[in-house]
Amino acid sequence: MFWSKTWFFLIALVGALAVAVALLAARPMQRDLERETGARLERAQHSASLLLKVNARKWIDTAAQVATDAVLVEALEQATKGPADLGLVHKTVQERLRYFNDKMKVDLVWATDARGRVIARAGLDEQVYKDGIEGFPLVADALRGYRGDDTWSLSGKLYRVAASPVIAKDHYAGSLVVGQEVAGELAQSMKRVLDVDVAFMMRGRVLASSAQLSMLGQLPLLVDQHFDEMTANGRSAPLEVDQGSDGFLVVAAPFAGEAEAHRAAYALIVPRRPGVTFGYLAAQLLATDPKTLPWMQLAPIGGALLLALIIGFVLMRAEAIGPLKRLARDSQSLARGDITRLDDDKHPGRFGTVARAVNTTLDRLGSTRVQVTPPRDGGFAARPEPFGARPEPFASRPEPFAPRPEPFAARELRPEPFAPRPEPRASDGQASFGAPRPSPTAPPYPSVPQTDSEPASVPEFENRATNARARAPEPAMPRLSDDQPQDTSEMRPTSIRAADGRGPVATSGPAAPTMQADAPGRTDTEPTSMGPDFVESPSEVFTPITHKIATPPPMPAPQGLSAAGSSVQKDPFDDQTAVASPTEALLRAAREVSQVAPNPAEAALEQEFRQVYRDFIETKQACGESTDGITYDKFSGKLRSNRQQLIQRYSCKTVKFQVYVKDGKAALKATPVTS
Amino acid sequence: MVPRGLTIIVALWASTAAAATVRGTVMLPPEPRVVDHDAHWRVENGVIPVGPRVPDPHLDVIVVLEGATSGKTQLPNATVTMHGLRLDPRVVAIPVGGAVDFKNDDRVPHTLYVEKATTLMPATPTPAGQTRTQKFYAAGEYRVRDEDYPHIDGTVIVVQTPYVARLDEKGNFKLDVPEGKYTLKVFWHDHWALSQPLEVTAHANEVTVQVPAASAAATATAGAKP
Repeated sequence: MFWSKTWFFLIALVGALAVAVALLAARPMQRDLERETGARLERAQHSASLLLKVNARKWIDTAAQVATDAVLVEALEQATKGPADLGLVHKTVQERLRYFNDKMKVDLVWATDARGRVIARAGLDEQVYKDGIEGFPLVADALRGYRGDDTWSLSGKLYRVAASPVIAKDHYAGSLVVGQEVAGELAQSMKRVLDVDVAFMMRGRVLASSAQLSMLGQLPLLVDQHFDEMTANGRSAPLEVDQGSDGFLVVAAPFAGEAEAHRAAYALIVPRRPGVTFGYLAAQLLATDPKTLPWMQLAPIGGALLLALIIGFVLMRAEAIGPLKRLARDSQSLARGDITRLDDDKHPGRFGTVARAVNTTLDRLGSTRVQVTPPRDGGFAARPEPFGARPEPFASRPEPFAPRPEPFAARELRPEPFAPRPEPRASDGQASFGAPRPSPTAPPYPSVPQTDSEPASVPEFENRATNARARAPEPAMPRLSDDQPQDTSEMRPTSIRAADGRGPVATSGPAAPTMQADAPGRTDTEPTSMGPDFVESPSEVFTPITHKIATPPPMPAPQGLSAAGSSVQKDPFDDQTAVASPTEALLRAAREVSQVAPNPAEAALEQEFRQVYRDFIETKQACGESTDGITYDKFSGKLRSNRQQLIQRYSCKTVKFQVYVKDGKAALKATPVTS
Repeated sequence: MVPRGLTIIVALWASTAAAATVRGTVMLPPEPRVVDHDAHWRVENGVIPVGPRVPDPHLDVIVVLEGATSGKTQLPNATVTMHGLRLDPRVVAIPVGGAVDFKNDDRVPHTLYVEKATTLMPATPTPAGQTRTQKFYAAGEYRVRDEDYPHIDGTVIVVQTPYVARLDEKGNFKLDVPEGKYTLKVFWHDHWALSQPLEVTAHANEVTVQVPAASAAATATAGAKP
């Protein structure tokens, strides 16, 4: 068992480690996923920067193309010279700007003369002109000949603008500015390209976004807190934003150009991945295409697992299953009588321990003989154990080591190896005696009469095997149930008492044979309670009952209840039991029972005593003992005396007396009943 | 841009005992390449050459003579005009206790403030057509910004002397000062680029100063806007 246990323990340990690793792997995987998400956002920001730069270049080229318009060049040239009618020039330029504005779908197109004075606008502030905008670095550079782009904050809105110089032959005649508002359309286009949500912020407010996210309200403050980091590094680190149950990762970057001073920035947003749990990993694994799994890498692991299981089963078979089968075979052989002892050397480990224990029990049962000494009270002694309080280890399973029922007679001829020990219990505090059990070779009913002068009056205490109770039948119960209801609460297996204790019914003629017929069966039945035993020698003589029992009755599980339940079945002993004729004494006793006092309790007690008396006489006759000198008066007087003593001694309610056969002789057992 | 060397001939004119005229020329190193704005693109047109900077950077250079006791104690306010979405002049020098009038000639309001000294000059809107006067009580350099237009910035130099001159397009300046020993200081690109002693006599007072190239490098490193 050691190696199989150790092996399976190691397998369990490896399995536990694997589960622990699977559970703990979720945390670093979560971090990796978030890191990957952050890296994805950073890549997206880099792409967004490139996208904006390419887009700015497109606007620069557009502005440069518009700046080559001949009408514009001529008009701005005249505006720069001054003497021309500025109003007329304004109209001319504005018409051209509107034309281009409709064509390009931009939000603003401005044209200035060479001094930076606005000649006309299209789109934003169309009615305003003649104001100077040369202060804008973009315009100043365009007036010098540069093409460039910038971001402006105009009227609370953010514009991406591009400018180009207007060239008239060999000098600059002015500049042309085109611009597009940073709004939802740009956010949507960026989202289509970057596959992340985009939001634009400026001066602590959100200008536009690609989606109405719940966390947008937190973005301006977040951008303001990390703006220095953004300007220094070009973007922020991935920032975690939690809004209720939703989590997001955000990377923000400032807009290039003048708007940076207005804290204009764009934020790229992705929802955070849900927490990586074991279930999440399992779901991901189940969602994986089996063809993509690394079967070649998994094959050694599966092979190792299979090998480990095979080794474990081999070890278990070698160390547990095999020895257990051998022990079972030997036990069956022992039960059949093929062997008298278990060879404990054949059984290793704990199976050998079990075998030795069985052998020890067999030795003890076979060798224990305790001579009983008479008690000082002259015949009755009681054990301090209340009725039914003693544990009965074999009561719940009839003959666990006897796999098949044996012939009744054969069982009587052999010792009962698994009967409880006959030794008295030290805790009883009373003088207990182990009654001598019949020798394995001795007949159950000795033909030699009792030679002791007063053998029946000697109280005997014996711890009887309780498994006998389980297999003890209640032969007379079925027949009794036809006439009267059976009191199943009583734990006495004696059918004689049950049949005769009903008074008038028992006194009738047909009842007596029934009682006698049941008596032999009861001789094989051992009492259920472990109360004090006593034997008395009544003077009355009963006719001996001869019986032949070939087959044991079926074994009812609960003693009393099962007997009641079997009352509707046919008595299995009917065909094998020789029924004796009722004796005159029995009939007389039955008649006496019918004349009981009107006191119900006393009458019941009297009936019980009479039943016990009849059982006792009948049992003695069945055992071949003499019943001379046994009278009911003496017998009942003894019972009453002992009953009173036991009630006083144990403060019990009543005392149950039972007749049984011990060592081939009839004996009485008194059991205090506390409940 | 080809570096320009400038020889300054300082002639100390014979003068009266009371005053003398100092004429001089300030030779500037090549313009530092300062990025006006950090947008994505700034490319030449490819058709004709890029023109000069407007306004001329020489107009942003201030020459100051410090040292001798000044007879002038009362100076008029300096005036800075806001037009074309810029400050004109961009740099102005006043003596301690002097004031600057910020006149808004633009069509939009301007919210000027002094950087790092908002208690001295808080961000207060100046509507179009109106003038905001601000007095400065301590010597130093004050950078003026516009809250609505971040590209707008100027500098107010508050000095302990009334002898302040501005260069013309050729880099020349002229100052009428009493005879005595002075320190000639040149403010260029938002910092004092040159400081040297100068003795003013009654005779020819002509001086030629060369702003070191290291100053331009320092300017470029500091990222100061011209």
